Amino acid sequence: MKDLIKKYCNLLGPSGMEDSVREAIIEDIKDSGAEYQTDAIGNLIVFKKGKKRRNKKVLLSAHMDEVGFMVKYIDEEGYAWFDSVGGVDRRVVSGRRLVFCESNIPAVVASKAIHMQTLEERGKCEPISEMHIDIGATSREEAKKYINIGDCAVFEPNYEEFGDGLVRSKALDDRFGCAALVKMINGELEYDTYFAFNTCEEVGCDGAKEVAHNLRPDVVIALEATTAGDILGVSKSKCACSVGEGAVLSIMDRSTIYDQTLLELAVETAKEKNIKWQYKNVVAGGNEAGVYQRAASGARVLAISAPARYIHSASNVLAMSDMEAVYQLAAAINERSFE
Amino acid sequence: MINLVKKYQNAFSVSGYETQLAEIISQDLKDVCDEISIDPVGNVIAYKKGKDSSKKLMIASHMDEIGFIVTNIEESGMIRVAPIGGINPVASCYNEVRFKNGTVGLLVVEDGTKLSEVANNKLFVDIGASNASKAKRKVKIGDVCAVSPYFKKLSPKRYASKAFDDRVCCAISAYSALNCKTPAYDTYFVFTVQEEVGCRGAKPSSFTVMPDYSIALDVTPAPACGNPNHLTVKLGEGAAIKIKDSSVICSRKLVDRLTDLAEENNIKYQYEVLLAGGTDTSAMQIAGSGSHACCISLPTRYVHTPVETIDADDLKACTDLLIALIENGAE
Amino acid sequence: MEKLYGLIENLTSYPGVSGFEDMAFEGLKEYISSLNIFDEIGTTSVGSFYGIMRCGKKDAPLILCDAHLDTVGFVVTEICEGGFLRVAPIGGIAAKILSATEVNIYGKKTIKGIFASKPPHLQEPGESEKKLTVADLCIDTGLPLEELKKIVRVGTPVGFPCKLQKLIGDNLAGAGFDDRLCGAAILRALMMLDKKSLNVDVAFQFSGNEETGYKGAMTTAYRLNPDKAIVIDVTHAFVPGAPKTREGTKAGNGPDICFSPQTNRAFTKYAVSLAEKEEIPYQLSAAPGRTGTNSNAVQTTRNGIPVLLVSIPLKNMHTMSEIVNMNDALSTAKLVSAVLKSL
Repeated sequence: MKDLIKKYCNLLGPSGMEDSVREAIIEDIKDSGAEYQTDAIGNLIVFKKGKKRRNKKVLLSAHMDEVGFMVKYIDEEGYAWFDSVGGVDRRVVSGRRLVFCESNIPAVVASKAIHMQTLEERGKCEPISEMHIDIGATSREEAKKYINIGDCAVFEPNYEEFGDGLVRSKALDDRFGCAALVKMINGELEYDTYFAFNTCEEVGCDGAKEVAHNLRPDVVIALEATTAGDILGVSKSKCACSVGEGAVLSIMDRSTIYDQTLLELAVETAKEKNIKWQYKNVVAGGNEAGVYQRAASGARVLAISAPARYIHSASNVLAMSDMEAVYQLAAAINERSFE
Repeated sequence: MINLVKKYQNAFSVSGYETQLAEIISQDLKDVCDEISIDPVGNVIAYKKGKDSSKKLMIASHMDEIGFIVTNIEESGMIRVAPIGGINPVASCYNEVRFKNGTVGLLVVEDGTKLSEVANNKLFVDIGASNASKAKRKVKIGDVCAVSPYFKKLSPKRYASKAFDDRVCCAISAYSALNCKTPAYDTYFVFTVQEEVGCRGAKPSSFTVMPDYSIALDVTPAPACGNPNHLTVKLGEGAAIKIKDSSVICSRKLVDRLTDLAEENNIKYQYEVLLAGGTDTSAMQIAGSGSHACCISLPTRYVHTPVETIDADDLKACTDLLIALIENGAE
Repeated sequence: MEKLYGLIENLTSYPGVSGFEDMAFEGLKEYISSLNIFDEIGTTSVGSFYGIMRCGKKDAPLILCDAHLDTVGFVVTEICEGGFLRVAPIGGIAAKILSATEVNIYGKKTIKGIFASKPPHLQEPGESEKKLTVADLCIDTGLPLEELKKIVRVGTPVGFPCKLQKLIGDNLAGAGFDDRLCGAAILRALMMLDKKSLNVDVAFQFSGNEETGYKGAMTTAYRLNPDKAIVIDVTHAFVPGAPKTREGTKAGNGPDICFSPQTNRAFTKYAVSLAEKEEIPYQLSAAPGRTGTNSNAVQTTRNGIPVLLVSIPLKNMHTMSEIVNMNDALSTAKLVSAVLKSL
């Protein structure tokens, strides 16, 4: 799974431009015997037969997109002014290296040198609308040869293992989820299962809406990355979950109160299979599960997440063991009939 | 050792007026050193020949302390003073002060000054004179004074005093000169002047010595209560090997050497990263073609107040570490 | 240009946070020796590396070329629960560029770290608009405390990895260009010279401790005792939002020649006329007070040394994504080489 994660993380796919990720996934599953189709707006839906049928239509879901940046204006000096695609804290942007999707033009988010900042400015971070991207062009004309308004960039690919079994990359949220699903598709399944690789999660879980209407699943399991709070200076009561402590099961977040029976099933399965797990202990964030729960006729939903430090930045930090635990738990639950 | 500290602490030695202490130290060391001189700015340079005369080690501790200088004598007999060095006015006022001629007075603040308004330009000394002419019999414009000697054993291991900065380090240096075996290198025990007003004595003395290795001895703030604001050093945790302060980043070679010596000799040590404040280390580092420079710091609470507080174990650790370096060299 | 890129690639690959320049010495010695430029090389106790190139003529004057070796960075102040480190900055670094960025931690072995950032849902409302200092931040090493303590101590330096990235139009992004880039430009200049035909000896000092008070420059200049000196540093290229007075220095317009009380006016004018004659692009700037470079430290060494200050325009200085126009660096090398040839 490590190789898949690395490969997917290094692809450039902000919301609305997930094509390269989808193509890579198709390449990896095309010989698995699964049926797959890309819908009108780019979601990849996969159906794989298992050894048995079950009455419930079960869907496992992950999203392909990552946060990024879109050019809004190119000034006379050749600098590109931009805004974020998806939620990005202004404090993680200044000074970062970016790459433009499709054209592969490298770029830097410029940062006024500390020497030129006034005392008032020092230590403050300007809003993203006041930052600009430098590609090395000296005029608008020159810049426009390489980039244009509407072009998107993402943090430069930087997958790397570090520390004690940790991994960092710009897009572990949620490429690791994609990798876990691909691994399941390429394996033996107990029951027939649907899989969805969605677009546009970061800008409002748009892809999931369409998938839900199309498939009308009974049970949905979302594989996600969720904010870990185990960093210096954050109180334990606000910590949400900790890196290295296993798969995270959400009870409630801002978008969903999760299905109680599924949650109990998940806990039971984890204990039975000896898979490390933890509860998410704060009510925060949200993901595609909320959309699945209420789209069309609704579905029972469960989210299994991997704890991620510094999510939505150039350096999502996750533990390989947590991502493995998410995969194992999801695979184990999928062996149930859900009757 | 502690008697040496007491003796030096008792001497009058405000920045620029260090002759009394210079004389005492010269007397103390004259029998154990090969040569002692006092340079034009007033630094005491005590030289001890080493086994290897191709290398020079300079050890600097400063003799001066912060104080006050008389700028005006008012009609009322009150004496207006200005600070010498980094005076903390809140810590200094309503203490007894002593002039070089022995005159004693009280450091006070202008009437009606709120606590938040206490500043160096509101300080006066009251020597009990009822008018200017009586005051002038004892004190004249330009005279300097400092907080009167005060020395207290708070507990078996902790001492409080004024001017531990840097008399205690002068004592460490002198004690080392008196008690060390033959130094590894030609060693210069330098007692510098005017550190508190900008390391002015260390510059010419290091230019004279042109050391290969330099060690400054100074106190460093140790947190006591409230928000320590990232002070890395703690009282009682041993000699502090300086990594950096705002004037210098210490030679890694010496930092590592001191670390090894501390480990080998079971001397308790800690590292110091000081974000504000400078020492003589910098002046020695940039003398001539430059030298490997580091500083052994003594953790001290309430620096630049009349109640600077140190721990006897730290004092011993600093002394042991310095002697180990003198005897074993830097390589 | 290729040669210059090779030099930059090599010189930026060594660690060397101010005060910890000795970490670069071994690599530098080996690499610079392999270039066969210098007759003598050495290092000093204040973090400087130097090389001397002799023309072979008796009593030839010595011209010093100075660039600084050290880079901005951090030093560890506290090793904390959970494998986090607190650090203090060395040199001016804006805290706002740090969150979620990677660093190298130069302990007993070099390990990776990432500046932690507080996720938005844990922030107080409006927190991201507030002022931030380096002391507010911490570095995540991903290692258990006990293991971390074996590698790192209070005082361990931390720096940005360089990560060169070619941009369009001969632009190059990287870290530590301040001032390794200028070291590369000097070496490139010396490679253009035929030393037998020179009338001067040339010393190159890659000086330490610049970011913390120009100490390497003053002590190494004292040791080398040159007759004249050229100080090469980076300067701010104009970027949106910079003060009006900065508009005169733009990336791509050539080396910046600086007039200042801290440089020698005659030497400076000489360089300007030479640039005109040789048709080397240049731009002028003025520093009426301090230059913020080694120029003053070198100029005031011993009996005084006339100094020429040439700067390469750089964007985003003191960040992990500094940008230089390579043509400016190459023109700087040409100018330095022209000056040395003409003396």
